[in-house]
Amino acid sequence: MSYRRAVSRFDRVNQWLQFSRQWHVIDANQQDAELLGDKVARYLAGKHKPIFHPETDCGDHVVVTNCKDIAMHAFDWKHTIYKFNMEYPKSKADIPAWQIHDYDQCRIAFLSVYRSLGNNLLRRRHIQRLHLFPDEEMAEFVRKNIGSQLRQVQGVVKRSDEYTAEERANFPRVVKFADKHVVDWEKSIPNPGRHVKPVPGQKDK
Amino acid sequence: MPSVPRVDRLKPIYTAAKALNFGWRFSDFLKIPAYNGISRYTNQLHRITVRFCKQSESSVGVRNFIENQLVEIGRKNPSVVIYAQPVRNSNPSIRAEYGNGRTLQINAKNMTQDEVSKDVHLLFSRSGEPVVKLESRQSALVPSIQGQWTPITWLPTEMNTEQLPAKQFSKHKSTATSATEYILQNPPK
Repeated sequence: MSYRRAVSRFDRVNQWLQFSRQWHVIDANQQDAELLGDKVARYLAGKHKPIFHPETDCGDHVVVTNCKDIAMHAFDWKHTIYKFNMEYPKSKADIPAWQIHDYDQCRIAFLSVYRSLGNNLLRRRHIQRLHLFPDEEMAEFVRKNIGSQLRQVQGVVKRSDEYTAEERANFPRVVKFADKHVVDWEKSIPNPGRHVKPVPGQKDK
Repeated sequence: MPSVPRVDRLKPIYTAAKALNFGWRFSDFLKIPAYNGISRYTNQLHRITVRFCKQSESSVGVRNFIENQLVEIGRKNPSVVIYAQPVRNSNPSIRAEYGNGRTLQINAKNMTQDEVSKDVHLLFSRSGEPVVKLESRQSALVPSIQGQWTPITWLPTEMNTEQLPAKQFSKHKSTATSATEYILQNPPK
């Protein structure tokens, strides 16, 4: 029996709320670009919603902050080559990730999200709901719209220079050095100087 | 003929489809006519007419059914009117009329008594609604108690009082133990 009842004003408002677009914010500090792109792409496409359907455009807005501190796995900053080809003369370019990051601090996050959205016609519409900021500063209207916050995709670890001397002393000693051991890690290696090539025909003395 | 001929024919087709009663509706939800069974149950079958011939061979099954089972069925279902019409040289048929005005007729030519019995049982157990493909196997009289999902359904309520973004909602949650935590929990001797 399909129940028929009058739609009250409360029900109507709830239905509007069901199909409304939420604004999420996520911190990209020390987050892997691929993992972050996958998570953000799901929210842009609306696949996290129980009302998701491929023909229903129910994606949410996502604000990504701290894009300048985004991270990549191991040596991927040097080895990841982004290929651009517009099929015009001299328009083919293979640019490593670190150069793109030097040029634009938000572009790496954009490219990873764009790749994760999939090769379909909808991703141009979905990517329009992505808002990227290099640090914590953002536009005021964006801050007012934010209604939810997403958890980061991986934990943020403290850098070695952020530990204070007390924390270093309190940490349990894992390796015990011998009494004669000299800890000279604070002293840098002296500069060996520039290598001078010998003049041809003359022995180096 | 206008310069731009009108090719939109949805309205006439829809109007014609509505005129066909509801035979055009190929899929629907399960229905209970007139909230049957909520406070009282009313058998939706109102009248059965069994038409047969006294001497033709095609009505042997119907005649056997009438002799052996029809009186007992009528005694068990006093709310159903049962007619038995002996018409000479006619095809045996079973006609059922339901509460919603719908009539079903089954041609019982050359049927055996068991087949006639099965068909009569089918007519008794139906509600008169057309047989359609089900949109969903479940339907409920009352709306959901939990309510429909909204984007704020599963959000933590602490977000209401904090100015987003906040550190406490951004921290990554994991069940894996990192090496630093392991050493802090199990300091070496």
